[in-house]
Amino acid sequence: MADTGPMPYSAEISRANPTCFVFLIDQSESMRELIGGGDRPMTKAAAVADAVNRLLSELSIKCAKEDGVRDYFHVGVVGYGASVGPIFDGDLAGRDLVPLSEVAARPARMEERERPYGRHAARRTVKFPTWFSPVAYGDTPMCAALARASGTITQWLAVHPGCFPPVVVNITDGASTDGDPVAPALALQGLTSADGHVLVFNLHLSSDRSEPVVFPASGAELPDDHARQLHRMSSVLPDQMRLAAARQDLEIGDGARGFAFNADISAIVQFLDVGTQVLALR
Amino acid sequence: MRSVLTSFWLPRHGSPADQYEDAFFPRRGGVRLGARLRVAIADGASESMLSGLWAELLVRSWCRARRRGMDEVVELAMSAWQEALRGYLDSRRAAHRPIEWFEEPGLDRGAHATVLGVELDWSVEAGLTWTAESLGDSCLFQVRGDELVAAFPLEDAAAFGNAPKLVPTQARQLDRVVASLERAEGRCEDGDVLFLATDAVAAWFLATAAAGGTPWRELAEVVPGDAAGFATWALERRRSGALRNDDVTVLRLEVSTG
Repeated sequence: MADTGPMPYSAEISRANPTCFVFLIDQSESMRELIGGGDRPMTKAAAVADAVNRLLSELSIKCAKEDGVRDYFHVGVVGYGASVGPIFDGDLAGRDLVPLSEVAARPARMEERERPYGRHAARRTVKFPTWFSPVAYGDTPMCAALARASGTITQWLAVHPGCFPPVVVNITDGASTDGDPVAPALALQGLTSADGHVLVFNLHLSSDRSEPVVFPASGAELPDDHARQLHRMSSVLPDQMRLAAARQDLEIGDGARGFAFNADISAIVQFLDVGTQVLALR
Repeated sequence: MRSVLTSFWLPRHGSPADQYEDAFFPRRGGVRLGARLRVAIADGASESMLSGLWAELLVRSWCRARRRGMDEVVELAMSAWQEALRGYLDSRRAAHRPIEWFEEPGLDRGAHATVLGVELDWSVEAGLTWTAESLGDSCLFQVRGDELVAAFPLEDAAAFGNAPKLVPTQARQLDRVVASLERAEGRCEDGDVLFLATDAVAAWFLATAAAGGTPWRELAEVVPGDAAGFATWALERRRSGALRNDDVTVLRLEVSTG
């Protein structure tokens, strides 16, 4: 196919041309089950909240300069369970998309956690900001969550038509209870900026000890229809993101989709890292 | 030895001047006479805090160091950094702007920058010679008439990536930095022009020359001191994609024995 236009997924991400990440987080009843991996028992809800809070913290730190946190990104976190809506706590409550500088300035809580430090079993306390808390109650209205993301992103694209395409990360442990989510996921992927299609990544959380499947190209080796459905809902990883992942020693083949099944804690962290690698492209 | 120095600099498009993170020294253009001259440029890493401050410290340390090689210069700069950092933290306190949680890891990690130091010497025995020491992708180009006769440390526009080697402020990394330093030397003829350029404009310079163009003549279109003219010059090339959007720094040094 002849393509004389510029490569997609190559827009410069800057303060003048920011992009956005939207996290859709399953808050259904089953998220209170324990997740695999980790050094202590954790519920799936807690593991996801930890990982996403940590990602927001790392993004803030990565974009921090002397003059403040650079608004290369705006961020939204949507929960879906008993209800569907933004789940920032504290000052950011109720907001759909928040510029990173405001995310950095207004965590809902600041915990202090001990971390190993240097050699000789020393430990030090580090600040661990959190923006939302784990919730596990209700059903799995995934279609409503995807539709909400579509609305938010459609508005965003009207204001930022040249942006690096927004990234939606859907984190779930089970099947949708409000209809077939493939159509709304594909509709979301159908939204475009001048630089390409919106990226939709799906992260499924483990309920048992089976091996995680991460970034597969084909759906053929997946264990069941549910996995294959989520795979169909997932965008192919742009080349640049694959290359950025390769720098972290992750082998991600051509045609790999932004999808992980039966993820345990370390797969969650790895997945979020790759899915938000866009800064490495600058 | 007589040298005429001019400089051109701009922050990346979309950033204000105080967020420019390259550095160069001497800042003052014009004619200099003498048997030795040091000049330097540095490019602060955009992912680090206080990179511009570190880049400044590196170029000044090189130019003030008279006879020391870059290995000693970096060591001196790393010590001087501790005081510079204290000064920065004091200024934040004085401005009632305490360090925020999201700044702490960056300040702990320290700053990073490329550096290119050049020394020109003249003697009866050796004539006009240059030596250059570099870590990273800031480049030196030597032009004679309408020909590019030397390029250091990179010779090809394709060689510029987005992960150049960088000089850190952390003193425990000194050995690794010293082991990675690159060094080159050459001779000058009367009328030769040396250019020191940070990566975005260096890549443009090499790509233009490789395509048969004359980037030194294109730069000569800009009147020294005409900041607005240089901004227009850069914007045209940024728009066409020939010049990547990044801080731009060029030092031009025309040398002669007269």
